[in-house]
Amino acid sequence: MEVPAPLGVAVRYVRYAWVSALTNLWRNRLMSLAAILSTAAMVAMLSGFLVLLHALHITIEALESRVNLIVYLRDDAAPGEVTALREKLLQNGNVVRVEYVSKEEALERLRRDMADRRDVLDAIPGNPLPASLEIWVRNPNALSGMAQQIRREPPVEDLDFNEPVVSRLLAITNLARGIGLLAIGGLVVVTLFVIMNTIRLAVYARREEIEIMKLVGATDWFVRWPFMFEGTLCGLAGATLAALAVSLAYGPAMQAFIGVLTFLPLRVDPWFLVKLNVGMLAIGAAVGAAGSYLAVRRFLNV
Amino acid sequence: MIVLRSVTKIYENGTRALDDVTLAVPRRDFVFLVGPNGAGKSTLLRLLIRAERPTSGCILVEGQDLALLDERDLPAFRRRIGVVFQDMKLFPQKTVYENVAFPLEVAHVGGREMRRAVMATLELVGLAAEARRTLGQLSGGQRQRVAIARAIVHEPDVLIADEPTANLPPDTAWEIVQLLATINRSGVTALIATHDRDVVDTMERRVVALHDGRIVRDERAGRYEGV
Repeated sequence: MEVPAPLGVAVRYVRYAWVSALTNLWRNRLMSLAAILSTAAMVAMLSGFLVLLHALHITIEALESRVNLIVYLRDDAAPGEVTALREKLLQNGNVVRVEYVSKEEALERLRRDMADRRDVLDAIPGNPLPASLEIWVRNPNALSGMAQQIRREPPVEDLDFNEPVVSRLLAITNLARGIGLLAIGGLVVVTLFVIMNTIRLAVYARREEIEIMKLVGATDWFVRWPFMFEGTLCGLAGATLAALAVSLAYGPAMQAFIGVLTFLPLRVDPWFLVKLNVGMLAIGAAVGAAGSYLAVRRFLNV
Repeated sequence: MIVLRSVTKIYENGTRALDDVTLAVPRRDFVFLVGPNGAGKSTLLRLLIRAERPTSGCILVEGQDLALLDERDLPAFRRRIGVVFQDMKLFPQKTVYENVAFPLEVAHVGGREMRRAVMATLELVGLAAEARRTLGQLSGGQRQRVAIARAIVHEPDVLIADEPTANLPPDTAWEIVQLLATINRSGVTALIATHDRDVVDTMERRVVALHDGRIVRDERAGRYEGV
């Protein structure tokens, strides 16, 4: 027999695989529906989790962008000493930014913050506020060690950082991040498993068909592709359902959160929702394809 | 050419399906494989397409040592053999044409080439007029012809048939065997497992008799039962 052109073969085969995938989806529509719905449930859960993680991430970022450490300077400190300390701090790899706040600026800020209590401020003679250095660090975990060192510097009068609050918050957020990632990993595995088993039932019903294909000389991939297209379509359909549900719920849910957790810098982020949905569609398709791959595997040994 | 050398097959449950079987089938030969149920006929056929592997011994089909056949080359090897399965293994929801075209689909033979081969084969088995029917609309004998057509559409070197006349009325069975003989005359080695005493006795071809997994008789122009 003459050897057919490779491109023609590919086009023909892709058409064959799609047609059989769609035919089989329809023929086993109850099973397909089960696969789609279980994917939708899993992906929706995954999305919900990611929304929570995202809120957490925003909170952490906001916390991290705050001043981490304030060093109050002696009134009698020489400008040279202050400059030297600043240089020294900037050489520390953990320090991101150091800002000098003069006595006048400090008073100005206080005036601004307490605009409604001007009478109290007017009662204070002169300027009792010290000049300070405000320090932003990369890793707040190292703050207490740094504080110990800085305290020994000559121009330093005192320093201030909310160690207990910062470290506790960091502990909580690190833990939450870890748990979140674990949960996502777990959910992906569970989703894969559920889809795999649903598809395996469908495949089991057609094991004889697979056997015939193999016995008349079909390669494993010839058998596999239609099933993988099927799985991909189920995964995509399920993820689409989940994306619709999550998109509808996202706005109201975030508004409710923002109403309750007013102290957290949460916001509705449409761009995040878009990215989330695209990601979930990709995960749905990938999990569907992978589930089919695994489900067909054991029936290919003919 | 098919060669089996000291082939033994013991299944996991301990059943000894074939016991030290040695057999040579030259090219273009026509062989009936006879024997009672459980004698090992089906096992022997399954070994030839490597649906099973022997416990020990060596099998060569068309010069290919099946033990040395790479998993990757198995599909291409199977395309050189045509098999009529005992339960036919057809696709019940597909049409006659689609069933027969399937081995070509698998081998990526498409378009005009495929249509030509399928129609020529259907012509040969006498089903050209039924091409568009689904299997449910066919009689038992017609379905067996579809199975045979599918086994030969890709022009294999070897044709293996497992009980191709089972459950068919005598004249239909006779037609099927005549068809197999015609295919054999075109140069295909044919190995046919059967229970059909009348067919074997009338044809007077080579007969290999199996009993309890051993070859008990191998005769040119033999009969179903030994003298």
